[in-house]
Amino acid sequence: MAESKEEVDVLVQRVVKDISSAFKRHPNIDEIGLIQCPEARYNRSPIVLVENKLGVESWCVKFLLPYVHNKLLLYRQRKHWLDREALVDITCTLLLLNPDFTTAWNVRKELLQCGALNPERDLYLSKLALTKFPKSPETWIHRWAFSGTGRLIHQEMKVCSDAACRYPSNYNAWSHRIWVLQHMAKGDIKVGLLDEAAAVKLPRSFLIEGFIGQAFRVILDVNFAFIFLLIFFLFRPGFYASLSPRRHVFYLYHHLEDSRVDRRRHVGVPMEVDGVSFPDHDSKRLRRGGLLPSLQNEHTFINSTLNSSCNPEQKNFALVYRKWLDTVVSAHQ
Amino acid sequence: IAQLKDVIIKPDAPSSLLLDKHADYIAAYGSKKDDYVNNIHLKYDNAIGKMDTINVDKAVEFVLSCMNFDGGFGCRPGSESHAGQIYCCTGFLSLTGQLHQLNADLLGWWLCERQLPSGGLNGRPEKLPDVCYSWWVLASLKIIGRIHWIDKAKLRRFILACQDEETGGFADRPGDMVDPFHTLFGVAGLSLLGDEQIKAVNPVLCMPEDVLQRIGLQPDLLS
Repeated sequence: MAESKEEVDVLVQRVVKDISSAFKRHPNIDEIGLIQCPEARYNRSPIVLVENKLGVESWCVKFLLPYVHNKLLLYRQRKHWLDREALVDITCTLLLLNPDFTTAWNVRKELLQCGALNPERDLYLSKLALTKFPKSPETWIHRWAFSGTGRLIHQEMKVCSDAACRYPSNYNAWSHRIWVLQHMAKGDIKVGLLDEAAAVKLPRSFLIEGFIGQAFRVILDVNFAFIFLLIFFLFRPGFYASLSPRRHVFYLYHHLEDSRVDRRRHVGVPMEVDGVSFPDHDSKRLRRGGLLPSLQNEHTFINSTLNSSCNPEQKNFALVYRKWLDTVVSAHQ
Repeated sequence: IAQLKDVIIKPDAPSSLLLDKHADYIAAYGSKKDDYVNNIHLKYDNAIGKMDTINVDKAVEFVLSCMNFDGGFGCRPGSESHAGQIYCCTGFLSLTGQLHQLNADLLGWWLCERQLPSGGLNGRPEKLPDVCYSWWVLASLKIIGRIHWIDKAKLRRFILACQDEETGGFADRPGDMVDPFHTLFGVAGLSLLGDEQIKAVNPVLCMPEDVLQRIGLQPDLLS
């Protein structure tokens, strides 16, 4: 077991190199992890690669992490020079062990800026870090630096979904999803809807309800003209998380700041359809279908949900929706 | 609802305010209580008028960048909304005259959803209630003008149940050990709820209103 300073130096440099070569030889590595292994057995590398999964034996971390951490800080303090390739390798090693180390991500941002690092590599590294640390705030934040690049939206959404499945109520993953919707997809409807495959796997929770509600709010703000399509979609019974977006449709419908909304409302009359100026054919279509949201319709809908045989979660969401109507909406009457 | 984290208030839990007990409890914590109060007062006097030593615009910009999709605030951009952070940010926005940047309905809704069946408030979803959140959540609601969105009677019942009848003081939840931190926020929470035996407390600075009136400070509140 390496103990002297020189031996540690040699060991660490070998490990950093092993990690770097592992990525060069196997560009399809899709997951990283720590292998519980308190003592070094045999004289072999602690970097293990099996079927596209990269493992680091735990015994080496206590040598590896302080060493590379210190090296990077010395570089930052201009006390120790590191060439670009060394910086890439060291930051990669560091971030796979501790992705919440902001300085390392910032060094990589600088390397990106001067063209020494390919954006794809960085997105790949952060995606890998999220397989082991699905909540890591600094990793999600680092992905915001790439808003100008041509990366694909659906890939970004997949990173969010995978991370959301790895950790229950992964707020940071859902938060990032909203960011993608706002900054990359710019409110594109197709993108905003949860893909059904992911939706089935995920546990139903208030966090998801909240996310879906906000996603629809973003979509609706941008796509006012399509509001009637969404209302029809959302009012479909059985859409398990329909109550949060329904709430947002209701709220937006009655409170739009948009100049197209006719603000002349009758005083004292509960929220009504008539004051809002939709294009005529849309308005008539909505009226015919009885789909436009009014308070009375909503309470009827809630009562029918509560009296039906749907699952307890849906009933709970219905109760929360009723509380919201009574608390938030009635405040504006 | 299955798996809802909450406490159960026992029938014999304290149900009235044991003010004298609490006074004894706090007094026992240090005989220089009055010096301490004056010290805070002076420090605060000093602090007023030093706002120009920081870049307030940049600070506001950072705080607003921590606002989340649910209307709440986390400790850094993208981080989970948390009642403690929300209190700090709403207080900050009040002191810098930026409360209009908040979405009061959205945030108010998130805050009033902290109330559990026991009447107590948690700090974020899926967590147990804690008496200190009676302050962080309640004060935030007061600042944004939505304190009436909480069931006050149920919250009061929870806070009173957190008292220790023998030693005085408040614990984080009924039956636990008391400490000065939770005692402060239990008393302050009751004050915000309108208990007439306690002085009115300012929600932004957690200080008695009469002290702030003396120095002429009235932070903004939304109505």
